[in-house]
Order: sequence, then C-alpha cells, then structure tokens
Amino acid sequence: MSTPACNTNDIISLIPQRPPILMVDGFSFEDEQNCNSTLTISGDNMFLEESGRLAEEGILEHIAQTAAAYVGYLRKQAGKEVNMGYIGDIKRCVVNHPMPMAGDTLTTHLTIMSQVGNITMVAAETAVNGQTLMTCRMKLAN
Amino acid sequence: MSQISTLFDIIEANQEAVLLKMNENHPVYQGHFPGNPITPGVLSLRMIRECVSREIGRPLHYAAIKNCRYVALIRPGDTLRLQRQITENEGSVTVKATLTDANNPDDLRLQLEAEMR
Repeated sequence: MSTPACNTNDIISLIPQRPPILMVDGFSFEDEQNCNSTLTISGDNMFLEESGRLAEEGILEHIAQTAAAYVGYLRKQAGKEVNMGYIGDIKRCVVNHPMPMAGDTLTTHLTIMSQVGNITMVAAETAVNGQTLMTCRMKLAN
Repeated sequence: MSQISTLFDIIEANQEAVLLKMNENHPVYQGHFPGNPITPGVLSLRMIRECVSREIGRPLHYAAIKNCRYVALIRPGDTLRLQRQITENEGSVTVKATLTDANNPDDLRLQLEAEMR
C-alpha cells in the first residue's frame, strides 16, 4: 500500500537538490521495489528551451531526483540524514518526442532493480497525460 | 537563450576536440548542491548535445541514450575536452563522445553513446 503523496515541502526533506534545480514536486513510496513522483512544469523551469518545450535532460534530472527521494525516504525512515547522490550511469534510454511544455505534469514510476550498499539501480518510466515520454535504466550512488 | 546555455563557454573547437569551460557563477550551482557545487550529470549530456547541434548546424535532441557512464565529477570552473565521433544517416545522428579534463586526457569524466535527431 502506498504512502500518501509528499508535497514540495516534504520533498525538500528527502532530497539534497534545491531551487533552481528542484525537479520533483510530489512523491509516494509504494513499497521497497516501487515508487512514484510528479512534476508540474513551471514557466520558469530552467530546462525549458526556446521552443517552449522541456529539454529531455530535464526529464532525466526528474528521474534522478525521484530515485534520490526514494533513497532519502528510506534513510529518513532509518533515522539517517539525507546525503548527496550522483548518477553513475544511464542506459537503455528511449525518448519519445515531442517534449512537454510549461503547465504539463510529468508522472514517473520507478521500479527498484537493486539496492546494494550505496548503489541503487532503477528502471524508470515517465509519462505526460498517459503518453510515455521516456524509459531508462539509471544507476545512482549516494 | 535557455538558462542552461550560459553554463559553459566554448573556448575552442576544431576537428580533434572542443574545449569547454564551466561557468562557476551559474545559478544551478546554488541548488546542486548548497555549499558543494557540482555540475548535474544530466547537464553534461546537455553540453554534448549543444556542441553536436552546433557542429551539425541544426538543433538536435536525444532520441536514445545507449550508454552514458559517469566516471568523475565536473566542478564549476573546470576546463574540459570533448572528443566526439559523429555519424549522420538520414536525419539520425549517432554520437560517441568522451569528456576529459582539458589538460589531462587520462582524467576521464564521462563516456557517451547516443542517437540524436
């Protein structure tokens, strides 16, 4: 059973990133293998391009911060501090254009493939309005 | 111009490599991370995309990232050498690239295989 969704204020306590590069505004922990996040793209999002569309790197950052929130949630549950995290690799990433625009809401589901020590491997799928924008595998160290 | 374009300057570009310098005053470093500025890994992908777009002569976007391996951190003020192999075929651009320290080619920061369109 999933936890109630965290809002932006709660997320600040789960991840080390801060504005202007905060790319998650909702997070819910389903279980040890699954979690979900959202981001409604604001008009001043730093990843917006001249075309008005979000750059694909912004979706990758949103996925990385979702994984950071998962790790941060577990650390917080264990009474540990949230620490900094880094992307180790990105694989099997498929991008379906067109990218979303300001006002659109990204929804992401992460499946945790493995977590060993400080290394977490995830499979991510990000969608807007039910259309898949990106799938990828990501390895993170924290 | 997008906010991210000011993250780095191209110092020199030739057939062999592109030399880049990270702008240490860019606002992204205020949030990534407070008190410990590190270039977000996804923005290395953005730098490579911008350099390849410039070279091909039109704005490109990632269609697929086969493998992007981050080897070492990139900090504000770093100077980097981008080496790239670019193959264009019917609108699809295959990119193999590495980012290393500009002065030390053994100091690998990132390795990328991707397809842009």
